[in-house]
Amino acid sequence: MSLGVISEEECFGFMEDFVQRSKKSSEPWDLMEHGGKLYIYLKSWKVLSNQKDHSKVSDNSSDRISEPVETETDHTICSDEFSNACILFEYYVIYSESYSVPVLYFNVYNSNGGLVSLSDVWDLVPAHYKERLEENRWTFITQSEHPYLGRPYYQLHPCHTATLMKDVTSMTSSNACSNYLLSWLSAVGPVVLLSLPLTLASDT
Amino acid sequence: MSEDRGILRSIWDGKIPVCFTLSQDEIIAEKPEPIYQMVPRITYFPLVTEKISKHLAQYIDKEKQGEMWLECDGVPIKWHYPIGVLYDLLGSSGSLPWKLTVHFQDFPDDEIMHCLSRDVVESHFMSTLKEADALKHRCNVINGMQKKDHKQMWTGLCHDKFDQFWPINKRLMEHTGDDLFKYIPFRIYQNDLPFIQKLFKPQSEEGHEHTLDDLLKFAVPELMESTDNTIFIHGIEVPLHSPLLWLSEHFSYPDNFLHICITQISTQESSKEW
Repeated sequence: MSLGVISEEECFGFMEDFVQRSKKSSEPWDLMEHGGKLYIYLKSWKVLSNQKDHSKVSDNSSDRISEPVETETDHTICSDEFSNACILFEYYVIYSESYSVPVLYFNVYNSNGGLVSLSDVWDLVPAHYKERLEENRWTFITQSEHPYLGRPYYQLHPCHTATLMKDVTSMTSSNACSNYLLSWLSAVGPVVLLSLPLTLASDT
Repeated sequence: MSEDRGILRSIWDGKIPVCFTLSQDEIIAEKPEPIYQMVPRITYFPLVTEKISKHLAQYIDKEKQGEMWLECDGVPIKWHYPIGVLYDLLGSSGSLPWKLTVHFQDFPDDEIMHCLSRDVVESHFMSTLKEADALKHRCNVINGMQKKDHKQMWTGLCHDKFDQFWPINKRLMEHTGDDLFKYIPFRIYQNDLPFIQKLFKPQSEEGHEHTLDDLLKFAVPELMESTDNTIFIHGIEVPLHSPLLWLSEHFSYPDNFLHICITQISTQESSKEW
């Protein structure tokens, strides 16, 4: 793990652990399987508190590192007031054999079920990340083919994951509860509004 | 690999005649003539259809004009596959030119990726190239290149310039002595299914050179049991005993992947009758 990469077997182990931890949270992830390969999946509704300011987004958990503005507890029905600003995120974490790291695939749908375009996805990225990522706009989030579904999904490009995780794993290696997926997702997830509940990181 | 330059050149020069027809349902008045064009197998549709799009857009309702997309017999064309791969999968040698329908409405965004500018194609191409080098050299070669080298490869592909593209690409194809490619970058396509990509080394553990047959038996064993499949790379029925490393060096597309298409003989014959 010292190079920031992990084996497929390790990754599947972290996935199982991650899903187990998330069971106690308000947004439990699902462990899935495709042709003998494990992957994890989460469907998450978010409510935009103000359409003009997309960076302020709430979700259905109150215990977040980012600051939710509103709290929406109903997963499926949105009030009329928010109907235009209620969006659905689908997240997949799939192991990439080419890069030896996990990859985050996601799609965003508006309340009519239409796919949110890449430029609108960029509008959803919190401002402080956007500034830093602007230079790599064309390579950081891209549309690509979902390896198991064969349909278009947005992807956080895996080519920088190992570099990022090299530092993270060396810092946390002594920590018994460290889970590579947890460290990585809590670092990159907030860019695409995936904020993990703090309870996931606790041991009990 | 220099002695096989002729082969690299022939692969690069492969072209397909395509007939582009505007969708009947989207024409508002006068019907435009279909457009015929020879397109390189190794490139991507958005890089060769800009003029076609501009021309045909004159014949449609401007208010309903959305992003252009192509269709082949009801199947939306995935522009992010090289044209040669799409033709080997969806076309039929019995009916050239390859007939494609051009649409400007109802973009099927649940099936194909958006492509609003060349930047999107460039980013897709570079990321596939990077993945190929991750498989071959753990990204060491591509990350050791300068940005201008990446640009030279991209513009070489855009402008169909073999002599601009290959001097740089040669570095990605190099391996020294016993240090072969770590894995062979390949993707296997069958109609309607997501492509198959796995880790496969150029040599067996005993040091034997792997052949195309070894790769297919590993990646798609169930398909190799039946005899009514045809295997195409660049439209060529490649002998199964071909050494895989040699194929990777010479038959890869510009993105450095060996794109292998498997079609059933029965479906090919029935499409020929049409």
